[in-house]
Amino acid sequence: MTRNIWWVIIPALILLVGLLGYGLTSNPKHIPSPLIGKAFPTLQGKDLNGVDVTLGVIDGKPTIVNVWASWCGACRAEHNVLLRGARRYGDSISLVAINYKDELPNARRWLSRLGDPYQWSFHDLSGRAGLELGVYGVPETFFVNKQGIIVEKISAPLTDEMLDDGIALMTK
Amino acid sequence: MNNNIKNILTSILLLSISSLVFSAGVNEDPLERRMLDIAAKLRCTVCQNQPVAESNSGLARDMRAVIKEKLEEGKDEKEIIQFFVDRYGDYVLLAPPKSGNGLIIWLLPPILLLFAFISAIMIMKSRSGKVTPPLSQLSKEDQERIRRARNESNKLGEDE
Amino acid sequence: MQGFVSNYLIEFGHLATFTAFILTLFQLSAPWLAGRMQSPALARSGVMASYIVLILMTIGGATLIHAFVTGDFTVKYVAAHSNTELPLLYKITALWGGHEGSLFFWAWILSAFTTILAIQGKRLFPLRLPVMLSVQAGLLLGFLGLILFLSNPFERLLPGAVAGQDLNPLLQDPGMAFHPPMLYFGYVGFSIPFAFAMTAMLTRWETTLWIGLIRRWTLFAWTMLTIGIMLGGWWAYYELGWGGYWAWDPVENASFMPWLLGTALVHSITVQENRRMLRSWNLFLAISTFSLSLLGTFLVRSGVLSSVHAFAVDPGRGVYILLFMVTVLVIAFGLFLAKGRVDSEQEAMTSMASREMLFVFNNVLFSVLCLSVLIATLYPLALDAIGQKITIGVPYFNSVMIPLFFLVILLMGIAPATPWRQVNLARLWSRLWLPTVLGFTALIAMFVWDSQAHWFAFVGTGLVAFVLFAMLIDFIRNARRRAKQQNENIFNAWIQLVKRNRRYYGGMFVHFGILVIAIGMIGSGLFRSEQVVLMAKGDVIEIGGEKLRFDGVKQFRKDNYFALQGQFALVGTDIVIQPERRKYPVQEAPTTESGIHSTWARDVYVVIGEVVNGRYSVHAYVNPLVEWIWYGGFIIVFGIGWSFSQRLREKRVRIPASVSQGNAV
Repeated sequence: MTRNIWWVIIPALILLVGLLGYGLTSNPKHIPSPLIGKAFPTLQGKDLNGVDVTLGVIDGKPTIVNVWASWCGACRAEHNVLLRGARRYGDSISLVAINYKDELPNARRWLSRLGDPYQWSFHDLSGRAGLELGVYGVPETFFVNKQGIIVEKISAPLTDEMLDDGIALMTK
Repeated sequence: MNNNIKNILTSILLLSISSLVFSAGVNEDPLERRMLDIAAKLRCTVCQNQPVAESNSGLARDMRAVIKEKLEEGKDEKEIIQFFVDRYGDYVLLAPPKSGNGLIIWLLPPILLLFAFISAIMIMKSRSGKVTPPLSQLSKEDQERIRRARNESNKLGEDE
Repeated sequence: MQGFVSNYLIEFGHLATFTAFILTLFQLSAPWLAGRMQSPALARSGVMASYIVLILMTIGGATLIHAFVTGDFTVKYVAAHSNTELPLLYKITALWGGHEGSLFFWAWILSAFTTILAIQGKRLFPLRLPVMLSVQAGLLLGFLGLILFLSNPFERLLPGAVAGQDLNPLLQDPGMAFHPPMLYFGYVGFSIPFAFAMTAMLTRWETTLWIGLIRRWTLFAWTMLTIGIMLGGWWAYYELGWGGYWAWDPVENASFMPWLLGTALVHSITVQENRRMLRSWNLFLAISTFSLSLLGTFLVRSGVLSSVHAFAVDPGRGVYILLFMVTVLVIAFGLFLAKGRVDSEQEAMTSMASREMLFVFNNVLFSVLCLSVLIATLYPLALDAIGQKITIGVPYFNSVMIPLFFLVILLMGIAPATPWRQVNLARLWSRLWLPTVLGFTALIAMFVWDSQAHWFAFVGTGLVAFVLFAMLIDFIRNARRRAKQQNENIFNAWIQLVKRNRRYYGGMFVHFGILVIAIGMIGSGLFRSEQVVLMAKGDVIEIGGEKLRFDGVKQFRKDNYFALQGQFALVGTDIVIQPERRKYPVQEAPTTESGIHSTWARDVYVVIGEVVNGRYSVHAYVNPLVEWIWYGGFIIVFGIGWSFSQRLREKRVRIPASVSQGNAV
């Protein structure tokens, strides 16, 4: 074997190790969404009280669509963030939700116990609406600007920072 | 008139009973088969490395139901797969797309093979260094030895 | 007193393991200390250290097994992986059912192999043994460090759990019980060639002098790995219910990569022995094969890749293993770069058209295969680093790897007919023209039989036929020659030939086994029939030429689970197929047991699912020739055994082909 082959193998080894090191820090399950930059689809259905609602831009304002379920532990963790956010940003944004694959009584009980920051929650019992949005787990949150374009999708529990960043993006 | 209707109704009744008694030869729903063929090309996004056709997770079931629905609506395989790619990205495809970064990984193994073969040939060629001097320059004994060895080798053939 | 003993027995095991750690540190530094202090006795003490380490590790292992068998739930690992209702066999095999225990088991095997190496070395290479043991000690130290400080199976759970969490139901199975040990024997086995290579580079040890010694170790490790992989595939086939046996999952790939390079190494060693060539290849392969074993360990336990097989994720351990692996790789490849050219004496290539060159191609093919699998396994991770996510799944791997394997099979047919040094192309053709014709005939026949099949079926069948006939003709030719020389009749010649050339014909048996496996894969991979139907009692489906009737379900309780068992009959026979859905109350995850009826020609494979509108969802397959894959596995193991049994005859002196008459064995 000639010495020259080592100029290939050494960088390759460095690349390998670097890659694996990076791999330790990354989350193999997080999927970037191809919907960012696309229009939020219009989805019609009923909310938790049986009232007809349409998912999309609400009241002409930048809209946050949060996906949650009563059986989801991490949703609990981000719930306070949403309550705070609803209070802080109040009228400048709309905050609605998709209740994903959840039974009505469980969902209603959850909200009455922990507080309801949403204008309403779209009841997606079958998960079909979620599929339309590329939802693969809960919680997820979509940030939609006034023009109805999805500017950001978070596939993890929200923190106050993430919420602020998302809203900044939405209202630009 | 009455008789005809009676006959028809009796036939229908008998046929339905007989299909219950003589157990049905069941066939796979062709729509189900088509759905599974498509689902076999999609990756279950919440599973560890499984196709949608095989996974029992909630999301996989939902996806299978959607595929079936769309097949009933008359959509074809390409449209259905595109539907999922639009929402979940290339990640939902079980094999990388043959364009962009995906193309690199498709082409890499054949290119590697070609490169390795050619390198090997070139390197081994450069190693064919040691050359025995031409026959006429060797001593008589050496020539005799070579001739003998050649004969033996021809006789016995090459084993292993 | 009883309570005291049982409570503290595990601590004794823990202490033993810790002592082993200290001794291993000593074993690692013995040669260097000996050099410093000019004390040869100190160097030899490494041998004694390895014996004691094995004894200590055995004590540790024994106390762990004892804790499992007696249901000592004050040991955290036991509580997490066992249960009082667990059958005895699985209580023992639970030792390697989880991360900590399986790591300990790995280290235990390493210490055992090191001791065997020491015993062998005392007789055959006493001067270099201390360095060899030092290399092994380095490896063992890495594992013991991980075990004692980050993944400790001896950790206590006080107060003890009332009941254990039970072993993962998927692992409560004979195939799964022995799959890890076989794999570990393989992975650890490759540490020996690794140690030889390292020692050779560290002590300027001419390759010719030790290459024969690692041949058996390499073959042994390779065989164990093969058995481990086959067991995994066999288990996946009958247990997981998707009718397949290999999914190119990252963890499966992690075991396949060392196998690929191990195969290359086994063949490359032959070239070294016969022609004193490919020394650098051998060093490289010896180092890389074991490095891949370590890489496999990393991939499986660090959570870096998404896989159905992965152990529970813990980045902390991942960092440790990565650092350990980096250290080993840097030292090994660094040495190779600096001191790879240990011996200058090496034969030159006479001609490019020779068996040597074919072996080089063989090395190239397997290396490219291995590299391709590695890159494809890691590519999603690389793209993830730049924000893109893709999946590289079965369709990719099959499309890319199978053609490469076809090339390997082609080589398998040509190489045995090609002589060393220089081939006479006319003579080669005279041996191969008939197999070529028969190969093409088979290809055409397959096409005629089913022109809609994937082209893999045609090419695969053609190649298998080609190699089969090439091997047969080679065998007949050799037997004829022998019969003429020894004045025997042809049948005696055949028998004597195989008996007296065990290494060669052992290898031929292994190749034959590979062909049998290939046939099994072509049949079950390309000609499988599959149906998913809802069935009520009495319903019949027609699938793959079989008629399957559903006769209802039975429900019962056994051992530590509840079962719902479907009754399926093959119409017109008294064959009953009984797939199950089991619920293990402790673990709560239900499992399915496939119902399989096997004959040499096909498997009828049934999985029973859930009830939909009063009918059961049934997934049925007919897999033609799938059993041939397992038959092939047995043939391979037999072939290796045959090859090993050569030792029973008198030892022959190995002379390079340049000196002999070209008939070396």
